[in-house]
Amino acid sequence: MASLKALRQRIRSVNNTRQITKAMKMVAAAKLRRSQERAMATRPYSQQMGRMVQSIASRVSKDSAPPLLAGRPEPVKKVELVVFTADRGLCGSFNSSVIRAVRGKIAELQANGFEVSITCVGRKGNDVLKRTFGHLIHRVHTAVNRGLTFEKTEQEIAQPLLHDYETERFDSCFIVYNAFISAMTQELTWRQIIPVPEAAKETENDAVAAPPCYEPDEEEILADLLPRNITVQIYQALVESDASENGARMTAMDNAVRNAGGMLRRLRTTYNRSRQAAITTELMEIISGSESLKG
Amino acid sequence: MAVTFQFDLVTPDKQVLSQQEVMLTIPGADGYFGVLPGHTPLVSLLNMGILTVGEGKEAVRYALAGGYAEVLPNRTTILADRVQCWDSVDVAAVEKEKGAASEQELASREEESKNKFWKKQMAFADLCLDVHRQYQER
Repeated sequence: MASLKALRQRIRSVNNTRQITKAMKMVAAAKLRRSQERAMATRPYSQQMGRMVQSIASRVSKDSAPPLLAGRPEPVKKVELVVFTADRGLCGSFNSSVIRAVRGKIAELQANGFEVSITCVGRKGNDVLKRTFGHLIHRVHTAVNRGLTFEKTEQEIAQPLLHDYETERFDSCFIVYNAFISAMTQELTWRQIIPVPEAAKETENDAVAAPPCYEPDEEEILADLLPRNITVQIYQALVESDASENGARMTAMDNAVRNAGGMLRRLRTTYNRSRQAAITTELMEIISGSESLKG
Repeated sequence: MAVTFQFDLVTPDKQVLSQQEVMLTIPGADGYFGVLPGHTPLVSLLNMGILTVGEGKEAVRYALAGGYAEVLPNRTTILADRVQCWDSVDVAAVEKEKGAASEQELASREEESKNKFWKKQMAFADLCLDVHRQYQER
């Protein structure tokens, strides 16, 4: 049995941990509300944008479509992965699930003879991936969530990415991030953003049969709309990932608080038992001492 | 009852409007155009300009920084970069923003894309003040 002093120290340290995790949980909860609102508020725009791209794409003939829409004529050789993780840890399996998926994907792509390159958004993804795939990472964005705006996303992340596509550093691009479902659950999401995925092009929802007029014309609209659509998808991934991160951290910290609470209870019981045992032993000694004096 | 169509106005930050509407005036890339129910399908780039929602005296105006419009006979969707309703212009904030933007504009003379961005911000601030004035004169 550990000494009373050691137990006291341990209780104090567990209690401290509990308070810290509790504070972190509160912070995450406060941040979650804001980032959740932002993620929800972004959805209509990106959905409508997706719909519009699809409805135009379904009417454009394959030959005249720009590369962002239809892909390059030659087969895809180089694949770019944009990996969205958090800047900080202590959020359960939030980062590790993304990283695990990316590892699997890289292995799969490389086995099929593709060249892979990576853009890391968020520090944690870079920290872990650079150990094994350091040579593949060619761009890292960190601390993007601070003061995140649509314009900032466009300038800092989307434009360099589009530039890389134009200079043929890659032929196809996927993004991977945690989509926000609820505070408790995130869904790992893969999405192809360059070129526009084939399946999406064929979905003809409520689009009208008659080809619409374009103003100024089809090509100009697509030239403006497609890069914009990439930015929108990246922005959407960012805000979803941010909301998921806060949700994941809140859940993880809630578990930690509960674990620390349970541990404290057990430690206190042990501490009180051994204190009582020590008192009893002492009493026994005193009594037996006085008994022997009487005799 | 007047004939209406579904109108959605969204920006990257939020869904601004989603309602039945009788008429719109949209700042298209080739000039302003009006939309009534049953309009022929149209996809248009938008210029910076004033979007008018509704008809006659009840019309509400928005400063619009550009974007896209998709017009279908029974539905119109506007994807705007930024909008500002004319009844909620915060003049002090807009002036401040304009000042900051003009500083940035001067500072970024070398970089064309950034410069263009800040020029646009300045123009949008002016437009906000403009619709605000129109609102007061109404």
